[in-house]
Amino acid sequence: MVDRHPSRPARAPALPKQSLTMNTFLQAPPAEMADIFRSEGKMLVVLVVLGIVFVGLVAYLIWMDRRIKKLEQKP
Amino acid sequence: MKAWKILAIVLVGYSLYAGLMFDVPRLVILNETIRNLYFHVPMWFSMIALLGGSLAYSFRFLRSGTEGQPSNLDRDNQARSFAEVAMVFAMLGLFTGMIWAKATWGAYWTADPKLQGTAVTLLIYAAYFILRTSIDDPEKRARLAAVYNVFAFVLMIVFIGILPRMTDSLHPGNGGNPAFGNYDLDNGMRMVFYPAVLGWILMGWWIATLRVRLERLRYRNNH
Amino acid sequence: MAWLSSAQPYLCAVIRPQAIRQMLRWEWELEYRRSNGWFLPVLFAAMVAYLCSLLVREPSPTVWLALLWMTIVFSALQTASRSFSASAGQWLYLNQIVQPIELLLGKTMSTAGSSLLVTWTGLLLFGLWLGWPHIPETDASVATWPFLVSISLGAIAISATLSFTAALASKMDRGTGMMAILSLPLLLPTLLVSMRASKLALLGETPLVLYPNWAGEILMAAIPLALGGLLFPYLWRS
Repeated sequence: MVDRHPSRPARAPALPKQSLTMNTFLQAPPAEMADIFRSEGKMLVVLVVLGIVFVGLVAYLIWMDRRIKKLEQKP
Repeated sequence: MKAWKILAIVLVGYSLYAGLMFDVPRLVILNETIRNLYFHVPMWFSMIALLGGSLAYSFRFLRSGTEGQPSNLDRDNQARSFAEVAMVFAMLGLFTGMIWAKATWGAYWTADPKLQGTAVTLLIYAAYFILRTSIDDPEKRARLAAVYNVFAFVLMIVFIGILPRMTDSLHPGNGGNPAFGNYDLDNGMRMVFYPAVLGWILMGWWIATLRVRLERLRYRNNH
Repeated sequence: MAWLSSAQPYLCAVIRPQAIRQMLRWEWELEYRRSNGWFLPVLFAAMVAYLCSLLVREPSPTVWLALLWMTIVFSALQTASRSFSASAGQWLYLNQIVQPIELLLGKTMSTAGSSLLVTWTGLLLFGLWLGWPHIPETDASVATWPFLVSISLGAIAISATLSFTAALASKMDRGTGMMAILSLPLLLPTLLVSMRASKLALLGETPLVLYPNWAGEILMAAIPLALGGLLFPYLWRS
């Protein structure tokens, strides 16, 4: 079942979320999220890992594109 | 490097960062996995876009052979390559979806329309590739494959269109679950989701064009 | 006569009723009067029905329907693959008297006719060997005619798709072996609609509920026919 969405003001995408004790005091979240995980900076680790994978794959794509272009230009 | 390729890299990179870092609605059952929206659903959109491209090339191939002109076999190459890359995206979407399903719905596979739609698409296009490998003459192969492609694509669309109306579903937006618009797309998720979809479609298109060019080179080397 | 053999632009095709009639008469002569080959799919349906009766005692209605549709599909596959297996001389004659689209239409109609025969035989044998599906809350007499309609429409819809794939497979060297693989994925939407239509009919639902499903079955017959009509000239070019 899906809970009714908590009535907090719709925000533009914010800065990386951090667990603020004030926040948890004022409104108990209806669903568990990875707040503690984030506060320990671990989300950044995940991002960096995925970022490395992404950069690696994109670099391979670009290299292949250039290689093919070179082969196409050879008569 | 063409502009649209750079755009693809930028958009997907942005969706990667924003997908992990920005806020998402806090929902039970889904918890943080709702972020999969940015990575799993674009696979499906890319698959459809690439299959549409494959259809267009098949169509143009068939038209190119009329009125006494020789048929353009390169179009057939394009049709095949786009279908190939589409299948890769279909499998990626299927596997990511299965993992996500296990985590949230409790099972790897359910009788859910979207899952069935993807499975059927894979089967239909697997038959397309088997058809291709069992004909030797390139001209005939291209023609029969193009005919099958058009036929199969329409039936696939029919399947995907009919099915959700006929069964209940666990997917959001079907069979009693609140639609996407309800709980996430008006909360800033749109700002990451749409760029992600566009970015992945462009990525898929890029990979497909590379495949086409590779195949052209191979053809040129053999003849 | 030259325009008959050249590729037609895919949008203009005229269907002549007397050509269709000629085709159907030709099919009738070849398939039913001169040869006993038409009996093969009927026999196939009977064998599969008997096999089902050995495998399961008194199946629930859903299982019964599932087995029935499987039987219908595979028997229809037999029917359709035979429809395009003519010799080269016969093809030469056919190509001279009818246009490609009339050929497809005629073949589809004769396949649909054969499929209906096979389907009704299979249905009767299912009733004989597996018993009729027993749904406690419903009145069996109310359900009979809608059920027959659902099954028949489904068989026709299946024939439409199968005719086209049979034509495709006939152009390939080892095509007959490929027919099942080519056809089954394409049949899935048709089968879904047909399964639902027959299940609802068995449940004794009112016509109001049934009509959309029947319309769906008719649609699943019309779409392959329309697509086939557009694509057949390209397919039949050689």
